Amino acid sequence: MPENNWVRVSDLSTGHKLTVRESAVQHGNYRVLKADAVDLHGDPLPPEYGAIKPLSNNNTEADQAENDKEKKS
Amino acid sequence: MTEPLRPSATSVHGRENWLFVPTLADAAAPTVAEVTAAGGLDITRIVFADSGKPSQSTNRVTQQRRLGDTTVPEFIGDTSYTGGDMTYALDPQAAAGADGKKLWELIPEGTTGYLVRRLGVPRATAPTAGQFVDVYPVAFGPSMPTTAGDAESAEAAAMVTFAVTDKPEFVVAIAA
Repeated sequence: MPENNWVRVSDLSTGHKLTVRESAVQHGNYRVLKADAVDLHGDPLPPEYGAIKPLSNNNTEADQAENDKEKKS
Repeated sequence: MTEPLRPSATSVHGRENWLFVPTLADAAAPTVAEVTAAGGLDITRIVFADSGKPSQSTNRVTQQRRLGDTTVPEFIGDTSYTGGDMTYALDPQAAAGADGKKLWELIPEGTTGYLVRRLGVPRATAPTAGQFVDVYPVAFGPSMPTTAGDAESAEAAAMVTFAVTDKPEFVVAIAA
């Protein structure tokens, strides 16, 4: 079985940042971040709630720009 | 004398949902966006009915007997919340990302999140604000492929042990 690493993602549905297994990324509305996913001991970092503005049907262009910026960070 | 109150029964036949939710900002007030996030999964029709579910156990302890006591009352002791062994459908031959492998891929060893149970609402109804749910913070161990059922009814499955990692929240409303 391939290695199933931890990755740090932002959840575009909720606006939270969290650490998930690589295999879970394809199932979520996630944007993979370059940030660290685990701490010094290899444990997943805790979630950050409301770190970004979640996408919604009422999204403005400004929201989209913010999410795009997040993607690049 | 008037008739004593008799609330109507709430059938849960086809009216029970279990959802895996990766993260909640406040377990006591899950939001619609969190509960319906694509990163989660409604596992109602993936997990087998005889699978282990979270449970609660409260100790009853006997009070110290005094010299002259002729009756011995009790105290309420610790309450523990426990997980169980979950058995769920797994299609080992399915492609990555396919329905038959979704839960397998979502909850590898070390995954934490929440099991959210909704009772009394038809299972195909989307979670909406104002519905009441139970929220169990959980952590999963490694999943192991196995089979469920015997002989002719046997089918491919996976078994995983999960722990309840914090105090659950019961009958809390989904926030907008």
